[in-house]
Amino acid sequence: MVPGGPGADSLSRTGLAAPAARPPAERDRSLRRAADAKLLLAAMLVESSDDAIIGMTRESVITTWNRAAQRLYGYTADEAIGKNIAFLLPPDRLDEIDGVQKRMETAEGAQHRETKRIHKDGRLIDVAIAVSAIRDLAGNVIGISARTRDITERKRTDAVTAEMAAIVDSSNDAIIGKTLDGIITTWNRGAEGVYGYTAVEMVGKSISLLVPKERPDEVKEIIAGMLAMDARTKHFETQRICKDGRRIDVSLTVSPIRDSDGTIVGASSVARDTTKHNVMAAALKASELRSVLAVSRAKDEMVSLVSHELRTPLASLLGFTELLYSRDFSDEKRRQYLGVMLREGRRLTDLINDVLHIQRLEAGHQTLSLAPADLEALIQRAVVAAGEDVERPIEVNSSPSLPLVMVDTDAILQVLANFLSNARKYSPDGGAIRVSTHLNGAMIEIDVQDHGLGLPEEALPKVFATFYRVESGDRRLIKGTGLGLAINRRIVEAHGGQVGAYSGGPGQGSRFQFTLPAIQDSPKVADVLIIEDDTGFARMLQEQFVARGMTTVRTADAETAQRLLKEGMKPRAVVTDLVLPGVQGEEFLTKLGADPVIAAVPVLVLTVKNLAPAEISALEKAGVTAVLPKEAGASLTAVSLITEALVPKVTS
Amino acid sequence: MQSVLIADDEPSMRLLVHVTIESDDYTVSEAANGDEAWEMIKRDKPSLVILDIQMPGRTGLEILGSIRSDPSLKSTKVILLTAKALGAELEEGMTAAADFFLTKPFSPLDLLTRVEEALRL
Repeated sequence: MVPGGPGADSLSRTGLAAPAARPPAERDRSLRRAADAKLLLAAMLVESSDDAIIGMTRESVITTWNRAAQRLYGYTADEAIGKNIAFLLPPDRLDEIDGVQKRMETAEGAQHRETKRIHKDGRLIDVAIAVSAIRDLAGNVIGISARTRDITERKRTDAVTAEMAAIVDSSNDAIIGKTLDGIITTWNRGAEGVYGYTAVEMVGKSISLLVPKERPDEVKEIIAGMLAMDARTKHFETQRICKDGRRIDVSLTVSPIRDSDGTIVGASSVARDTTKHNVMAAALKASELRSVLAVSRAKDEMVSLVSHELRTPLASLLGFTELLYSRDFSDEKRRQYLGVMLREGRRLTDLINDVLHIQRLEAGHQTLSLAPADLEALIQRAVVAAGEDVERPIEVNSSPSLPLVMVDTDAILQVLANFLSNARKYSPDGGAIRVSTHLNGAMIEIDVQDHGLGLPEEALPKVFATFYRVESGDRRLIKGTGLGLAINRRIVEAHGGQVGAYSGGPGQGSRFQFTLPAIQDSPKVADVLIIEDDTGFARMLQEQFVARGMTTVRTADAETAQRLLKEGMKPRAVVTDLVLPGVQGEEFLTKLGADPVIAAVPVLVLTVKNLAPAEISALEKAGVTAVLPKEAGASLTAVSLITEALVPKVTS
Repeated sequence: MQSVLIADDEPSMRLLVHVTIESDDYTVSEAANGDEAWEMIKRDKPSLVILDIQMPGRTGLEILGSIRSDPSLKSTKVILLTAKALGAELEEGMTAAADFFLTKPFSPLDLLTRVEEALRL
């Protein structure tokens, strides 16, 4: 790329293309003759075009202005040539010039956009513009050409059509289009409301589906009447049958649909439900009231349960505090009581966290931050987090080459943690816990099987309910909030999966299963691949890239990123954290450096680590472009570094 | 010698109550659920029962009802511990049938006073 190479400016002023290198004089002359002939032809084509065609220098100074440009903008060639194109742009769109100039160097073909321009008489016109670079024979950009078409009329028609569609769709009346044979062609939302059928169910079917049996010829008569009168029929009262078999009174108007020649090709009907539905309305009100009451009762129950569950640990905590404060105990006793207080305090914290979590999930406030993830890596991490327990070892039995899943990794880690800790908790006599995965159609099933207390059959449908706890002698000593499984169910369902509990009965162990939708095609294209386990920071980075017109894919761990790259993803830049769960950034980067695709793109490291110069140079050797401290403003620096490196290649 | 039975399914609560009321003036025993508590009450006829309301097996309220309707347990004192998770009416009626009732969280020193009152120490 040679921005403004020698001579480019002087050439651009003439608006003529000329070779940058200097061939021998003879060849030069013949080339120029050929070029002149081409130019002449081009000039004729430009002048006769219906589109406004404007030639400009690299700096957007107008050099040519055809007749259509005069028609479109109202200015003559004399008035326009020599001025900067900016005088045609509304003030709030001046940055379009900058954008065009920036992209011009590398853009292949034309850049298209729909925008507004100002006519000489001051009115705004809607235009579609195709901008392309004018290059000399050496490929240097020496100017810009803009082909512009007036789309004001099209815009207006579009708007009218959209408005009409919106009116039709928002009507409470059933508005149905049909052919003269009575085959339904359009079905609005009002029709869904009145008849109960969806558009998908009805388009293509005969309208006679809605007509009561005792009126077999009604549709034919209505259409014949409309054709005979060549106009809209008057309101008339009839009856129709709904999807659920209800018979309703409707008031009907039928109008002809004409093609552009005026020939009647179909009919549209507007039907209003006039059934006396006082009884219905009353019933509806009562049922609404009932459901409001049910919700408030459920809330009351929740509050009462929560307060009970909170009071017990609080009683231990406060009770022992008061005893320790008012009496003297031996060191040993004191340690014992403090131990109880610590446990109960933690239990209280767990309980509060669980209650708040479930509340957020129920209120829909918890938004999932979805990213592709390698399920096996997630399970490994959950197993590590669960810690060692020699009597209750966790075995993982993963089916090979599972597809990636689209999940909120933090939420799914919690689901796994809950299932694993339950499996251990309810295995008081020990026994292995087996985690297995397998693909079943579009879903991945994850099973957590233990050899513990098992579940009585009647408990199976209830274990995922809030505060439900199985009551049996052998479970009495096992503490729990009764919320873990309820939280799991909500999280899994929010991902589009399902939960299940299975057991052969008491003493037979339990198996808990959840499913997650598999990613069918792993993402292949993205401008920036972000590897960052901090969801909040990752989201901020993504938003900033997206605001600059770049696409991003984020993974919460290096394992998933490696999977994506292996499956053929070709990012144009990589931003990674160093401190990651599982495989660390340094290890990941070393492997990455060996990949020829990645070696060619900018790789940025954002880290909280205080790296020694030697560590930084090791990273640079591994192919890292820059290392930035993860602090306020780092994301902006990262984003602008990447933007600078990429933007010329990003085509809009 | 007088005797006190603590009936609560929460080990930490049993420990707290036990430590609180420990004394040379009476013996203290524990039951971890309602059924066990009722067996011990019938067998040992304790002077005082400290009863948690919410327990697996027989609830504290069931046991209180059984105590009050058993002539052989006429002199048995009852202190109810409640975490207020029952219908208010039911709870009021039953706590009226108890000698004392305390709501969790409660002050251990307060509990000790009630115990000493109940045993007329």
